[in-house]
Amino acid sequence: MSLCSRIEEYLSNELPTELSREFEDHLVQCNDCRLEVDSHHEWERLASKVKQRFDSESSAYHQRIRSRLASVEQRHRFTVALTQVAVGLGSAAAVVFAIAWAGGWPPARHEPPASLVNQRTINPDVLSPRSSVPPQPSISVDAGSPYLVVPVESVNPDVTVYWFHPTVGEPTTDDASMIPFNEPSLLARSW
Amino acid sequence: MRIDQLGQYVPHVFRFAVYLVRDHHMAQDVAQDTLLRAWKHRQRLSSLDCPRTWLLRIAVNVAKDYQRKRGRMASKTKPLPEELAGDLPEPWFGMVQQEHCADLRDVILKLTERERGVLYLSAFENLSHGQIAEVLSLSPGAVKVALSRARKSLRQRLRQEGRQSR
Repeated sequence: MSLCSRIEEYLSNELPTELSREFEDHLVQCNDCRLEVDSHHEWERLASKVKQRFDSESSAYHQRIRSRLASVEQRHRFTVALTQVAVGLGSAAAVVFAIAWAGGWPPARHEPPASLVNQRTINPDVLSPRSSVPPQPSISVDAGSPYLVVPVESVNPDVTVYWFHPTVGEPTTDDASMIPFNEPSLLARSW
Repeated sequence: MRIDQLGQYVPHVFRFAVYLVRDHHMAQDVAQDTLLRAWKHRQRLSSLDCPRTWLLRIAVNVAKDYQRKRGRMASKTKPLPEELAGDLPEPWFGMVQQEHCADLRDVILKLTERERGVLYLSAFENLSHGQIAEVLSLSPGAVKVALSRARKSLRQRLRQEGRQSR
């Protein structure tokens, strides 16, 4: 096979190194092959020049494609984030639903301890002295007592307050001199 | 892999898309769809020796889809006037006009579609025979024959021009 017929392999860099060198030596002698190789290089030069020019003229298109891709990626990331949030919320809802399904929801209402409930109970016999409503405790009256003593709620724990109501009986003790018997009075005594 | 890492392939894909669909605006859509399709399969992209070959192969498929759609649309509208249809932009048609070698255009137009594709990928994308075969779904032997014929035609024309200029 003559070297002239291997010009395509030479131009495509497909010849082994040894044969490629041999072909280059052949080019010095063969005018036809040399012209063919020169024409090929001329074509390659043209192609490279035009490629550069085409790319520089298309830079606006390149930019537009890149920005479109960037916006698509942004949208994709947003969708992924949204999906993750949705999956998280869905999982949480599933857990809550599972608990409710198992009968644990709503949680049982805890009643306060009996001791606390008792503390909040108002003693009907102990009423506020500031109340405009006169106390009406259920009390028993000892026959012969000169006055009626009704305990009243006091803010200060060291002070005891009583309502004194006069009765039809006569005073028999010394305390009677201190208390006006003709109308209800308040007596505060500190211990 | 981030999508902007595909940005380096934009000139290659766009150029090839212009060659395939011969319309800059449609080529923009083809290039974008090609890169998006590649990004969807980015796991594969990172394992390839030559991602450019793979991208160009995708571009061929996307361009076919677009041309099918355009064909359907064109059948519903008036055909392009002949003088416009013959002047659709192709990367190297612009080049041969600018380089004052309009004769080359005639040579390229006389080549078969396969020869033009093979010549384009060899001259503009510097792909090997095997890579060209992969992009155009041809056998390496067919690529070799087509490229040889196309180059021979071009060389003959360039040699004639060289003789004329002397």
